[in-house]
Amino acid sequence: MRLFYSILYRDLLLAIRRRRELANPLVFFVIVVSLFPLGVSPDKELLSQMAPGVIWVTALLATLMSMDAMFRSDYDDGSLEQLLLLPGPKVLLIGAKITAHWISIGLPLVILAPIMSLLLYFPTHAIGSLVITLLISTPILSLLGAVGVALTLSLRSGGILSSLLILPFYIPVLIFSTMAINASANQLPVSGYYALLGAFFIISALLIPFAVVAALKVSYN
Amino acid sequence: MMQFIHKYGSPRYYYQWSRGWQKWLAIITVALLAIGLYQSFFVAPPDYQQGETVRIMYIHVPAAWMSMFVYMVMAFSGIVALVWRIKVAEIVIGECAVLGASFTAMALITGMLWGKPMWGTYWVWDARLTSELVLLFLYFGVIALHGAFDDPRTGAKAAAILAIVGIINIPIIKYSVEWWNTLHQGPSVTKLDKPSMHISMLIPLLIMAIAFKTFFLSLLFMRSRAELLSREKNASWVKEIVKEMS
Amino acid sequence: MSVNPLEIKLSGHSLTCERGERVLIKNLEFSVRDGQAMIIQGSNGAGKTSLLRIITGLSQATQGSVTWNNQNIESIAEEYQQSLLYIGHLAAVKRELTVRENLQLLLRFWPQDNNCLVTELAEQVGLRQRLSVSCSRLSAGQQRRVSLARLFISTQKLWVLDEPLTAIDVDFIQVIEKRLQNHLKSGGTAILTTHRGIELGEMPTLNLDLSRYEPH
Repeated sequence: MRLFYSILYRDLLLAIRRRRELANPLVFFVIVVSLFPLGVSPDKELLSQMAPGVIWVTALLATLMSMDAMFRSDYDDGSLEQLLLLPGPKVLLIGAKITAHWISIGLPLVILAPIMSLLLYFPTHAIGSLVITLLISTPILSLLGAVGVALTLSLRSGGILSSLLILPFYIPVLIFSTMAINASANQLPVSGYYALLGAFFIISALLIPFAVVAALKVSYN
Repeated sequence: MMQFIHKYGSPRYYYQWSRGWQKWLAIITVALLAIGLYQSFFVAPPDYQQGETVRIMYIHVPAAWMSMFVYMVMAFSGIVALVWRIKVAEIVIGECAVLGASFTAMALITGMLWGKPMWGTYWVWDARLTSELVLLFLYFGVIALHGAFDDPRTGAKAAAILAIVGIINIPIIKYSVEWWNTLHQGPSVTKLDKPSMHISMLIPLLIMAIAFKTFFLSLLFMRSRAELLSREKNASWVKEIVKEMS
Repeated sequence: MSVNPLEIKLSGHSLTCERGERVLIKNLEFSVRDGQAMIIQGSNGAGKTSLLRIITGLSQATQGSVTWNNQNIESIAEEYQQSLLYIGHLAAVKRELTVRENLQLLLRFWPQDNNCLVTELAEQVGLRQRLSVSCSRLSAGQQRRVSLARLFISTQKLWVLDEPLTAIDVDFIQVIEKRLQNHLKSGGTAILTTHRGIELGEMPTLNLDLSRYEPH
């Protein structure tokens, strides 16, 4: 566990130093959400209905944009090789990096999204469920994204390819989250959706790190 | 067990034993397809609701079944390739990706052709069509990843990991799409599904299903053998074969 | 503990490395003993870095194996990693952090015998005056010094170094050579690649010229 905390500390320290770059996906999120009223219609009814989906899809895209940061810098300057040779379970190393990534991107999104949702006339009583679904799901997004990034690390145009690989896997998260929000907006029970998302998170957290370790080995082949 | 895998998986031996299989599978495929198509288009009765257009089901449904089956074969090859590092398994992954994508595309296109007379539009966000579309995306991902690496062996390993992650996610994706679909389904949309099956419809369907499987396997053998020759071109056994051929 | 100088520590058996169509090395065999250094030479792209990656376990050979203490490194991965110090040809220094912070991370991640202070370590690599400088403002040579700092706190028996002397100036080269000699004298083993020569005094060295192992 000491390995986990050391890596977590290291990655968070690096994230703070790189905060200007890390802010870019969040700025992207804000801008793209604003594009929808401009491109579709500022009509209150329409926006209100679309709001959960728009916020969620944009959050997905913003997360994808930030994925590269997880391993790219360490891969390019040779640090990743060193980390992979540290004695200790590699899955803890990966877990720490994914956690650090989530704290630096996922968590800010959870805070930013409700604010941006106001611009889309988001049903106010459903904002709570927006926050909860994002809170449970953004770690899943970081986990799944890590696989895509790890697989494409050694490739030149890895970034866009990794996004294409990951997006289909995001679909269940998108569907369950937006269904939860819509249920909440219609005063219907939501706990079932939260439970599903929670289960998905637990399964991902347990299994994905192993896939990421295997993928990193492939990148170093 | 290990011995078995290494023996039958070794490039040279695989090339030998797959030759017989390929030949017979190809013959069976032609026979079954001939019978199946004849049955589907001339013998089987038209559906009382959908009329003659139901006949496209005999292609659409087996194609959809194959799209899933081939993904499973691909993921299984992936495990074999990663755990035992069998070269032939690595080649199979790449071939399955392409063949699987083709079956999925076939299912989607026939689905669209089936849908037009039924709903008036070529596309509808039906649970099955949506799942097939997502499956197509997954296949594209495997194909893209496989081809992005300079070294095909590394590409195959990466594709294997993706396929394995995919196979675990597919049930989750299907489940979520089903749920999404039932929630949003308007009353006028009917499901693109098999009508209640009479035996006279079931038999052609099963014949086509088996024909598609043998078709897939014979194509898989053909393509993997060709790819194997290309990859192993510096090996002595390949050079002998080339000499014999000329 | 007295060290038997004839004990073989690290061996490669029938190592073959293929990358796509190219066969980089074929059926390579080597054995390195306690207190011995193996210097790998070969032209660029000949497979030196690939071989080092295989030796460290970062990548796998197409065929063949590497053994440490006569055990396959894949089966004793954990133990092997504890005995291994690898410095690649990339500096592995975080540009966003200061020299002090980078050295602190080194001390935190890699266990050492004596609790070395950051200031002492900086002294040894000649960067005491630059502790608070951000590594993005260091020259290549200075960054290299930060990455080589590990050599001064190492308790690992096996050192695998990829071009350790690049980018550093003559004075520091002598410091590193001396450090290497001490490591070998106390029974450690070293594998290195180098373009230029390296002066290891009287220490037994093994030269491995990869161009001999290329096919045709």
